[in-house]
Amino acid sequence: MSLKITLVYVLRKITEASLALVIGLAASAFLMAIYGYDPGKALYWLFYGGFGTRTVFLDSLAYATPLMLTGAAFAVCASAGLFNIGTEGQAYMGAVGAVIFGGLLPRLAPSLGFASMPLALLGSATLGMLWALGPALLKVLRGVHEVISSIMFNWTAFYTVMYLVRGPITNPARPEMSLPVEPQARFPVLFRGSILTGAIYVAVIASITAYLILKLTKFGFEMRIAGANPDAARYGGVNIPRTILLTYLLSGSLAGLGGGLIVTGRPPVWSIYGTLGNITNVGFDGIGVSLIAMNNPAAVVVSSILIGGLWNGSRFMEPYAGVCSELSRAVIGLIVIALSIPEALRFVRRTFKRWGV
Amino acid sequence: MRRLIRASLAITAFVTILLLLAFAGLSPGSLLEASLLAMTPLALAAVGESLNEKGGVSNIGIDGIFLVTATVAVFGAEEFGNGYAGVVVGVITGALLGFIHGLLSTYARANQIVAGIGLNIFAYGFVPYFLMAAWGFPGIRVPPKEVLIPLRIISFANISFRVSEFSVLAIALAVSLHFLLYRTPLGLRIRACGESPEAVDVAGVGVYRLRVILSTIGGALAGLGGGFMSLAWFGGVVKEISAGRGFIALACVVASGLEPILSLGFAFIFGFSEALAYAIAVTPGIKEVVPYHLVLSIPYIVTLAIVSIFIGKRRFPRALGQPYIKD
Repeated sequence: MSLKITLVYVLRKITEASLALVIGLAASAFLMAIYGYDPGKALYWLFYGGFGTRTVFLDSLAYATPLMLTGAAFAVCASAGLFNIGTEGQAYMGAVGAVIFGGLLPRLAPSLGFASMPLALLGSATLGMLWALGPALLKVLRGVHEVISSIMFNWTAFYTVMYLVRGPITNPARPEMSLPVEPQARFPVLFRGSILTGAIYVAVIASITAYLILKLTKFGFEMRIAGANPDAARYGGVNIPRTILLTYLLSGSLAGLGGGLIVTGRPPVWSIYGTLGNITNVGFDGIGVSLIAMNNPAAVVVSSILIGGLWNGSRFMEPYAGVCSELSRAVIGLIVIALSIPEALRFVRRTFKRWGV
Repeated sequence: MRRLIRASLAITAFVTILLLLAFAGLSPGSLLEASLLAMTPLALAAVGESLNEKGGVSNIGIDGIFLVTATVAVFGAEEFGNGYAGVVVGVITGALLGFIHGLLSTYARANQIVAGIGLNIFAYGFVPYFLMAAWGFPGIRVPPKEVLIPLRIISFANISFRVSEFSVLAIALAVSLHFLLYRTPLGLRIRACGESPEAVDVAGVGVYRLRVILSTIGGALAGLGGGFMSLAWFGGVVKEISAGRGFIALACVVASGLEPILSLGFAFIFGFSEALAYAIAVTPGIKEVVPYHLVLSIPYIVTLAIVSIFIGKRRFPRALGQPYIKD
């Protein structure tokens, strides 16, 4: 019986996510049609470029890797009723952490070279966590809404990282990017001819761990109850400020790890561009990833592949269908808007009933 | 009386800061000019947002509305060959986006924060796409000078001061919306709509309809800010033109506790910090000492500081952000 209920529940969630996906794609097809593009052709290349062949699918998995972590980061916070849209800035800081601890530090102290991969992972998670501490403290101590404070932290991170990448941690040989991480810190490519590296294992393990923390531990239970019903949680003896703080730190470390894995896990640059081009938007699109997964860190593993595919496929949409690749981000936004209606299915049914269909 | 004392204290502090900066080699006149310009989009959006938050709908998507309307305003200005027509296009687009957000937040019972985040992400993708689709050039559009809106030059004695009519409009709107909210029956209804929608409903006023209208007005004012940004202030559009200003506007709203006039004041403080950051970044003698990119993050840090200082005393409408469900 309980299995049946679970199955029905999962099916309903999948149907809702698919409905949102269809709405997002339909609306973007409409946008393309307005400006005289061929939506069929563009969407074909979007999906063919994301999932059509073995090689592009492997590349999509590579793009999905950091998204999985920023998605899990948003999902963890969302389970506690918090909106961590600071994952963007936390991922920037994570990328810097990977460069500092996986590139700069082993360079200064070559005896640490053998440990540069764990150092890079640890450094990125720690810096991401520290960057999440700000909005968390402001929320707990002053009641500042996390959406506003995190955006300010995002922009501060953006300019700080830009300063660092062009100044203290710049690559003297190639000033348009930061120092690369040491070869020992780079994840090996899994399949020849694709950019998929072992970093995806880290992302999957971290997401599943986050899921298990949420579902199995006392802390996870407190998080979920604080999100679902703060009054009941307080009455039940949950220390809400402490829960908020810890949730934020967990979320920030996941997002930081995501940013770090872009540097240590995606060939060929192994560093941060001076424009931050290779690390921007990874946090924002993680929000889409998490919402499509109904804020479940385990389901994030699947939905991140979808968004990673959109990222990868959009690179094909531009040369073959002439449509600007950033349209894929508009698609994600439309999907998120569609997902903001929790009872979308019932809403549709209700509306149809009203019209007598 | 107490308010008067506080306001005069704030003004004295500000003048002192200006004088200090003048000693550091920054011109107070041009700083004031730049602050007023930077204040305007923040104030327009903040005033609109405080109106619709009073009614119970919060719109996190202002940043997205800024981006979209700044872009389509340039398009409109070039199509009609007139900057003001472009601003009107921006206002209409903003109203449309606000209207959609209003519908989602009321009839569709959406999660307002998620819908707003979606609106922002949509804008981050739509704007580059639109720039490419409309002009075939990635990321930036500088329209011909004839369709831009020039600043007015006010001069008395030998001091000339450049100011935009939109700044004046923003101030006038803040004052008149304050009176609308606190001195008219309609204002009472709006505030009640955010405090206890059930009572408004029982009194025979459609909660959903009122909220949708307020959200539309909020969107239109943000659209006015967007159009001002591209056509009167920057003289063009880049794909990151809003640079998080939508969220700074939200910060003005929450720091002021949804009071239009107070949020205008905060908008001025943020505008001033932005003007100061740019002045520091370009003034010889100072710019060599402080790293350019770190200086650019000053407005965001000021926002954080101000919000955390002022938010503690504020009280927000009880039904803010909650979908109203009729029994």
